[in-house]
Amino acid sequence: MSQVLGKPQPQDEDDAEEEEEEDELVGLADYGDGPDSSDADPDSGTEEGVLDFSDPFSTEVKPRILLMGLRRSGKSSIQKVVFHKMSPNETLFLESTNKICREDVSNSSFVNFQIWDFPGQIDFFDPTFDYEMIFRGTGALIFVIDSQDDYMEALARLHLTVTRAYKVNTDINFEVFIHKVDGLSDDHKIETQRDIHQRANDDLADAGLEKIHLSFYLTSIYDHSIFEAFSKVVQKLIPQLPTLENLLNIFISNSGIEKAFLFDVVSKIYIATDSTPVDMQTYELCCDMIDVVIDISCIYGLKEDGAGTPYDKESTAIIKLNNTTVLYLKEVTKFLALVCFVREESFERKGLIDYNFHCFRKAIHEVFEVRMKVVKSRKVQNRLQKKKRATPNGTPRVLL
Amino acid sequence: MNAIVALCHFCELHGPRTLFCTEVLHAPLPQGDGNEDSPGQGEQAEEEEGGIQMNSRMRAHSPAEGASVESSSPGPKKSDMCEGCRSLAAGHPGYISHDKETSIKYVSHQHPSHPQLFSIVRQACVRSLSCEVCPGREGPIFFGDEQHGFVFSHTFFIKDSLARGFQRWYSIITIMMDRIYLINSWPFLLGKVRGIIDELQGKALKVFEAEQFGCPQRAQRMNTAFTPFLHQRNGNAARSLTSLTSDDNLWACLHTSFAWLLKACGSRLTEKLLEGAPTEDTLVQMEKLADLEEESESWDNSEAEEEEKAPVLPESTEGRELTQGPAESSSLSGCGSWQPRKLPVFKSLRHMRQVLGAPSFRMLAWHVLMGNQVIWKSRDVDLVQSAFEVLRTMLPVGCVRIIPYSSQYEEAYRCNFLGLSPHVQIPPHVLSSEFAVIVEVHAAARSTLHPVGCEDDQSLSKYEFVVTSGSPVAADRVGPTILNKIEAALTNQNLSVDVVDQCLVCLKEEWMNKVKVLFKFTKVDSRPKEDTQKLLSILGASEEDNVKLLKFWMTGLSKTYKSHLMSTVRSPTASESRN
Repeated sequence: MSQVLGKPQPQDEDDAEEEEEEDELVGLADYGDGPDSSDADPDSGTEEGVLDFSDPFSTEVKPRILLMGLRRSGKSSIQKVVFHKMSPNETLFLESTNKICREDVSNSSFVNFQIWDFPGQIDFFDPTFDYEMIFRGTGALIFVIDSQDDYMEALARLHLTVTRAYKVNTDINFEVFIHKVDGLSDDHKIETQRDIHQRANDDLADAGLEKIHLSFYLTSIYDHSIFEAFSKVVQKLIPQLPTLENLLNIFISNSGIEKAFLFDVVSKIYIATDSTPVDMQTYELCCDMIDVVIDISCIYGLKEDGAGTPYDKESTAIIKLNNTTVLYLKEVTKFLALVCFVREESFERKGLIDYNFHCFRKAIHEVFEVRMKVVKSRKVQNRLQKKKRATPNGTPRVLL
Repeated sequence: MNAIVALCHFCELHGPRTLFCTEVLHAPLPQGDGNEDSPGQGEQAEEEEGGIQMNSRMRAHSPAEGASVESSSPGPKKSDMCEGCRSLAAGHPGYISHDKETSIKYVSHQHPSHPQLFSIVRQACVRSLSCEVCPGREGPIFFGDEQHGFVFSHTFFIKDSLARGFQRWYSIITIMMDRIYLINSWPFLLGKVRGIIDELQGKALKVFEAEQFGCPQRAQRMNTAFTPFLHQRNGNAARSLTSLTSDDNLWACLHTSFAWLLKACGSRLTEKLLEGAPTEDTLVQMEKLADLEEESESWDNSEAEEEEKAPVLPESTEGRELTQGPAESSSLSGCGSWQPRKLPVFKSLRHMRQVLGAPSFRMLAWHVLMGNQVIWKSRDVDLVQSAFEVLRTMLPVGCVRIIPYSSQYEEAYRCNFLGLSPHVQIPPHVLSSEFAVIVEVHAAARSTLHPVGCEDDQSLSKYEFVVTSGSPVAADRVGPTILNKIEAALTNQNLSVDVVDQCLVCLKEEWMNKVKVLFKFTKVDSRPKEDTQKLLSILGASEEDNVKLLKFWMTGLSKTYKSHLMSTVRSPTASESRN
């Protein structure tokens, strides 16, 4: 363990250039290549991350996540519950959505996207709408199917939507939320998912579009499944994901941590976790913990005039559970929190965990800095290009 | 008013729908042939330009179009109409109101019958309910384009205890092709539409409260949240607006409201063709007119008491002389060769250029533009007058001071156009001055001196024109830019006389604008010389001749403009900070 404590040191000495920073991250991965690290090749992972960096910023447009589906399938409810902390019961009183509702989610350093909530009644493939424009900048298309309803019509619409969207933009991730599963028994859930999966893929195969990949999720706004599904959708849009996962793997294997999540605090979406499988219950516990911390901080932490933020650098929480595990929450960046599951005996070495966390946080900040640099240089480039474009100006016309 | 008023609804099941619309039908036009062959696209487009006034009858005669509409436009099929998006029952003939005075009919249906109107209304409906964003959700907005018409839309909610969110989303839209008319009707439309909406909302609120009292929906929904009842998407049928307001005469009332709205809004505004902003010339002319009126008033007032002061107003005295002058001379010249229609006059600058010859004309024009004194010596007053009338078109009105005919020399500060009889002596300093040009008109020795074929020119061919100046314009001198442009326009035979006139107007405006900038720059802002030089080079007027021209033309700026500038821009610092 002392090895690990010592090794990340070289990072401090070198923060000159982007590429070198990336090398450092790889280096970090090498150092921590312990027995638990199941990642096959950390180098390729990080390199991919670097390559992908350039793409999302070149367009300057935030990737879009579209919420589509038949009317009354629960699109607006999902959006309100996940991003507005609306109580699920309140969604009963939502109006029907009559126009596309856009919302910017740019509160976190990594998660940066727009949610477009569509009205289900309107056919956006009507020629009067510019559906190509809609799909061109889209990162993910979430199609919501009401599992408590007859879903044949929804499947037809799903097929139409997916094929049209794929024609415009082949890079869209297609995500199917089999929604409102709270009303189904567990067997029925599995059966429904199997059936929808089968039919949707059969339809695509019939159309000769097997290469379109659909991901299916069973979701409900009454439990944490919707947050988990949304987390996975968002994770696919984060180019830094492999790097983050690597960092988390190294972190937990060297600190004796069972499981760690990197959370976007506001939406409770986890943007990365280590490579051990995610158990729904641990995820729910983490969500609850964030709620507790934020709620307590909001109620008692703010100054009397309401100034200050409830969540800052000092934010940290430890909750001991009765099954010899400890929940440990720490702030990483302004918008991200790390939540860990630690065995009680491992938590005795809290100093080690804290030191490793310190290294982990630094690494995250560096990843973030690279992004900022890229954005900055893009801006400079764009400005130069604009200047170039502005110069060829026609000579003034002469009368007669 | 050539518009359509429509009530639209965002149906929970079917999305945006047109519920009810009232259109204006003008008296059937005498279009015998129009009914025989199906109306072509061009004809329809033409009709649309004047406003929305298509005749629904035309539809019946174009089966091809009718068919295409059914397939292409998103027309509602009977199957996907629910109570919520239907106003009039299937077999309902609709409502119609005759306006006997104007023989206009106001017709209300669920959808407009004309296919093109249908799609216009449909699109406006979708935009008003599902695309355009009104801050505060309920309220008026304006949108549209030339192709699909312009729309005044007012969105509003109607309470419904069974609806999602306990309310339904409606809008009243007014569609017109005439954007300006519609915008000008905004306050009127807003007030009246708001009135209609208030009434609807008031009725619906009563129904809503009664229903809530009987059975509080909120609690019921919470209780049934986990039963499959609410989840059934087609379970709860949408309710019609009549049941929401419990008003059976709702559609008839709406028809009268909409028809009245169309009629009242139409008689509210009448259109007048307006010219553009007044040019500097019109301003100057208006000022002169006003001055004259003032003068004549003061003249009338002071005449009795201050007879001695009469000579102080030389212009008016001369004016009297002038009116006598031409009458005399015309009778004189009339004796010589009496030609009623072929008076020896100049008709246009081009004509003058032909008569004088290009070099002489150029010299003359150069002096005119620079504000030098132009003296014509001739026995023929009409000729001189016509020459001045033609020449003055090169200058802004404010720069022109004419003494058409005088028996003695007048100083240059009093006039830049001076007509003299041949025997008048011109002072030698004027003769040798480079700031004056003299055109002497002699009777030609031989009438065939000018080999001009045109019959009209024959009257002028009996004259010989000698243009002299103290210092003739050097041939290689570039001269003011505007002169070159004028000459180019005059030589270009492809341009008709009218076009040349318009061209002159434009050129004058162009240079008058430069004058304005220079005036503001030098006189109002009092900028340093170097700055002025820079400005001049930017204006393309840094050559000496151009500068002179600008300075001369500055005297022609209207008082209104000058005082406006002076008053709005008081201190140079203020103007600099603004710049």
